[in-house]
Amino acid sequence: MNLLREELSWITPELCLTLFACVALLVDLFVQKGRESVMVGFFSLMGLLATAFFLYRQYGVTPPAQPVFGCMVVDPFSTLFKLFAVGALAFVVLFTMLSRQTRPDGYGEFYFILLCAGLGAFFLASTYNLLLMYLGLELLSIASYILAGYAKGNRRSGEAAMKYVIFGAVASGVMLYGFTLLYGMTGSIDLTVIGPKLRDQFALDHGTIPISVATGLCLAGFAYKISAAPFHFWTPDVYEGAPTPVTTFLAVASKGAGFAALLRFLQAGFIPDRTLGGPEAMMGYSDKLGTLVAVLAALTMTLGNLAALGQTNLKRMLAYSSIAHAGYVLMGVATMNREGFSSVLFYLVVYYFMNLGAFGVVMYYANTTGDEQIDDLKGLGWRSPLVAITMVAFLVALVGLPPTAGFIGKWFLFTAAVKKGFLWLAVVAGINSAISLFYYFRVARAMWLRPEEEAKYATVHASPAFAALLLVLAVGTVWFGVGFDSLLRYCDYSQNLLR
Amino acid sequence: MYFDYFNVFVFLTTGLLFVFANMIVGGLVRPQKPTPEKLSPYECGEDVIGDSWIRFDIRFYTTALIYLIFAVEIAFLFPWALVVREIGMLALVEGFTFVAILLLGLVYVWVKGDLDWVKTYNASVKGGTEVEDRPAADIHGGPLPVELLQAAGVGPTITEQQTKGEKGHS
Repeated sequence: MNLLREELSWITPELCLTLFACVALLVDLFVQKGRESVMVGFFSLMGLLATAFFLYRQYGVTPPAQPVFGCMVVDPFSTLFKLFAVGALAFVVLFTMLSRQTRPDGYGEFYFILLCAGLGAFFLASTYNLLLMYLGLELLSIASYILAGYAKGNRRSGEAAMKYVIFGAVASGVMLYGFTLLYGMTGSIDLTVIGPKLRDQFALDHGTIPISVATGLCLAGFAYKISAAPFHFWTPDVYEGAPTPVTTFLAVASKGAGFAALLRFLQAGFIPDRTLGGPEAMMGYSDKLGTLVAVLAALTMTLGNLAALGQTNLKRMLAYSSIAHAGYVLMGVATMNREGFSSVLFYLVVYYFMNLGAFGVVMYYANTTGDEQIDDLKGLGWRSPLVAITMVAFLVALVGLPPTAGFIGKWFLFTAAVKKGFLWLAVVAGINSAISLFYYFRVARAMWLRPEEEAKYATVHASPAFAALLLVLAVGTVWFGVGFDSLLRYCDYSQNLLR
Repeated sequence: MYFDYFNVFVFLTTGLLFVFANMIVGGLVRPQKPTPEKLSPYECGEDVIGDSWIRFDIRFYTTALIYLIFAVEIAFLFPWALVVREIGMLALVEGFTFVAILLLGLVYVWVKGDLDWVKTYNASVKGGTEVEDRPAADIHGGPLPVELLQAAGVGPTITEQQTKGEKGHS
């Protein structure tokens, strides 16, 4: 019983999130009509706050030696990603409360599903167990499908959900097949066991065809989750069709969780311990895998950026930009070493701030005008300076220019890639950043370089709450570009206990 | 190592052979005397009326989904009931938590009116201000499909002759 109590104490964040998801449903039933949005949102935020508190208490504590309940790993890496997910969820809840795109009935179920999706992200980020990883992925995915189609009666929203379901089902099936092959080769579903077993197989030098097939299939599933080429096709349609708060969730929390699982998968299963010295064949395989990821990274960022150039819809443009960013982040994954993985974590945190901000502005703009076209932004800078200025900050960060966090994040990714010997990849990424300058600044140009008389819409004041949210995100975007030491140290520390 | 996969190949081939060999042998040996009675889907039940490829009311799906959830719940609770005494308090709490979460969902749909068979529906999804009260016409939520009525022998254009021809054996 004591052991049980100790194990339960390690999963308090998950328990807390589950509890408050149920509370959100209950609150919707008992609150008087018309006040659900505020009340359910408030209780969801309280739940997220409590979860964040429990997560904060886990920070710095010596993690348990064995996985909790045999499958949940509690370490700084998972804590970082859980905090990341909780933060993203909090912003999504706030955006939803300020948005008009969600249905007037059924707030309870919206927040319930949202928190469940967060729970899926939690599991995905904190396990070496393939079964739990798959379960977390499905929990996150299924919740996301429902959320994408949440604007009932809106054709595009329905289309988005449908496409997402079909793509998701195929990708998760492919990934599951990869998992079964890994299980067939090693007889275990635990990555910490699979890693050494694979090492033995490499030592026997049987050839790498079965392992390559298994790894490739698994990578396909992860690539779908992080919307990397060639599994990115669902992204633009889903991002455009889904309600904007949901798009924000998909672009930030869902992608972050996908990267967390990918990093764990590669780290535990396919990276030989360089200090101990794995068999030659495994070293070679790990490097080959890195090269494959590097090619995928180059493909992803180029496709994303080139497709973004021609977009006229703001959300669709940001969707392609999010594909391109998945490519940049994959650059760090391709290094297959600790420095690269640290830069991935750093960039994801930075990406969180700038993308939440950009989507927040889109939501605000779409809410007040019912319009998502880039060209119709003209004159916004003179009419609503606060929103336009923060938007420029997010755009500058997305391009990766100093003094924003986007620059520092990209800097770390580039240096990690160059040090590993992927100079060509860094060059491709550099060219891509230059291309991205063009389409990001089309937005800035529309907002500022047109006279006020051309403005299509009258002044739309941001509510104080929304202005505060945008300011927080903008300050974060700029702050991490200057005072990034502590964040970098935390990202590096998170890697410590990742074997 | 590749030799290991030979086992898989043998297994697959045997499996395929087993199925098709039996079907071919059965087809050659068995007597074939079909009657319309034998060819109907339910040989000793109701006569089938019409095709099942018609539009069903969406409410059937809601009910079916909720039924499914609790059917699966029962499937989980049987093994739980066998061991709950051995494991003790922990299993009891776990089981009740599981049921409570499911019940919460049921209460939610109930209160939200998704279980009402005849219901008012919200005409405007976005604003939620214009609510049109319209009870459903019948259990199909609209007029019955013509082909169903025809097959049942009450359709508007159908003749006695055709009905007999279709039913054949009756």
